[in-house]
Amino acid sequence: MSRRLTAAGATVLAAALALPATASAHGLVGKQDLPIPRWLFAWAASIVLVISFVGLAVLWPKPRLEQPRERRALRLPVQLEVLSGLIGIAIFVIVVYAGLAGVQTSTANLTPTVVYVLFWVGIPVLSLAFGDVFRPFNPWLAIGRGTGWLVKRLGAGADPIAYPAWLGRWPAAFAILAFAWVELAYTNKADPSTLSIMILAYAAMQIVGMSVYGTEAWSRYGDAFGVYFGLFARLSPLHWERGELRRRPPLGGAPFLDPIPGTVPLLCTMIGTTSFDGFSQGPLWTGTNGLGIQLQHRFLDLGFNAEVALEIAFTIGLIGVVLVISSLYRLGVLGMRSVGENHQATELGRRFVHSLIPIALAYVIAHYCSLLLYQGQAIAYLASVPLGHGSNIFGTADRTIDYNVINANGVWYVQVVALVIGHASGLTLAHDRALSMYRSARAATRSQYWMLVVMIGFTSLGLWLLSAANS
Amino acid sequence: MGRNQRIGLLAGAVVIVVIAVIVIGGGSSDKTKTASGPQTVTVVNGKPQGGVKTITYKRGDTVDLTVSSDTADEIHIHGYDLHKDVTKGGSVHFTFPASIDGKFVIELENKGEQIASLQVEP
Repeated sequence: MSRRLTAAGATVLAAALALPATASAHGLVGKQDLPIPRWLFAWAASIVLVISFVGLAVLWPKPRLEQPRERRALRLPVQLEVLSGLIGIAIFVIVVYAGLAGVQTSTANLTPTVVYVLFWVGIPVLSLAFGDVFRPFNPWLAIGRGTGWLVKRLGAGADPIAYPAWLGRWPAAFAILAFAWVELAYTNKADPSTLSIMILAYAAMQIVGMSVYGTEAWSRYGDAFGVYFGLFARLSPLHWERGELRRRPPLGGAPFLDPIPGTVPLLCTMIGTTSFDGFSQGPLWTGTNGLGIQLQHRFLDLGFNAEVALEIAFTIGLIGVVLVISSLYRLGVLGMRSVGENHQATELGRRFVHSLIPIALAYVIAHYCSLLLYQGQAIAYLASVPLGHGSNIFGTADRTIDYNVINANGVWYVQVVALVIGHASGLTLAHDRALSMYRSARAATRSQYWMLVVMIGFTSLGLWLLSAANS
Repeated sequence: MGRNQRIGLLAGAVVIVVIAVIVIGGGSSDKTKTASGPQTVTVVNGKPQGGVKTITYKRGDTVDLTVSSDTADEIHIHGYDLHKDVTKGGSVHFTFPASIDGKFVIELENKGEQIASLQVEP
């Protein structure tokens, strides 16, 4: 009897919920993109197919991207590194302080917009254009370098432990998954003070990592955001390295990605979490019989409260989609293995993983360009009133977001163009790698039929997630 | 790769283009069921009656929306950033040009409850 009552109560509660949590993306914006209309979807999908076939037919027969072709453009003074590090630390302090001390309304406080829009979406776009711009401003890295310098001057401190080869990019993969969980599944995602505490916790973990394994090794492999932005920067024609600015062809850094353990899971996590963001806003997830709703009801029936049930459902969905993406890539790798020449699946998986970088970035741009273009404008007034009240530092506190800066058509074209270019770039990188790995050109081409299946799969999924079929 | 293989692949690409043109060009263009005209949202116990509905207009139309509510709150139309207070058992009326396209949340501002979506199509 009491069990029946609980079940009845849960049903009423579930009905009352009506799931507003999924309606507005990221808790910041009251505006969603209109779905890509069917005709544009069809055109985009056929362009993707045409590019793929033409690409296979006309791409070069000898590897071209495997040799570094970089030229020094500029020498940079050491002081610049110190200065940018200090700026990074200053911004870090302001953002954390605003989150803790400011108004606890996500749209009126500086912190949520900086974290979810400018940092998470803005920096990948900047990295594509200008290279690894995050690294010089990376606040925890700057703290680590400063401390390291100081300790060395004082003649104290032990040598760091060698970074374990098996750990590879696994810490980054887990931390990116955790960030995506906070962004997409956690109900308090946009609460400014919670965000500040999480930022502090993350920075503390980085400082521990750097002190154990050394600043360089940890920041190259363990610092999730450093690694994440650094991957996108590999597509850029600009390369900042050891006090120099070098120029290289676009995509030029991707073939030199060291394929250590954890790299494949990291890329699959990046693509999978963005996919889940799109999927979780569509009818297959939010509809009356949608997967998300059903999962939520299941956990409500088990006695969890509404918030927790929603979080569990989203956690399952998030991990599920990451696994689907990983399986799709794995499928392509197993297909390539069947081509022969005795390559192992793990080796193939790692050596082709750099071709997923442009796909991952295309997903980010396609899903979040409107967030960046609209909510990004909020920095104009938030910078003047970082705490949400009591200041007008730059005199811009009364600015508002201009929603006509780009219209729905404009957003559609950005989305489609990003996905198509990402597709072509991924295909190019994979083609070039195949030429360098396979002894016979014939085997290289045959292996690429499999990669083509993977790439078309990812790109069609990307288009579908944004299309009218998923709205 | 052999010359024939290349030609085959290029021919495949041409076939796709031709099929795409026929399918997309010949297929019926999207008929958007744009429901202009006056719309009403009724709020009962702080929830929209019949769930969160999408109210659709074409860009350039005039949005004509009445919200009646049994709960006192502030109605907020995001994007257009319009706010109007509604009294308990009262109703408010919005008319404004649909000048921004996109899908916008309409909510009871204080409860943080979404009561409808406003969709403006290009």
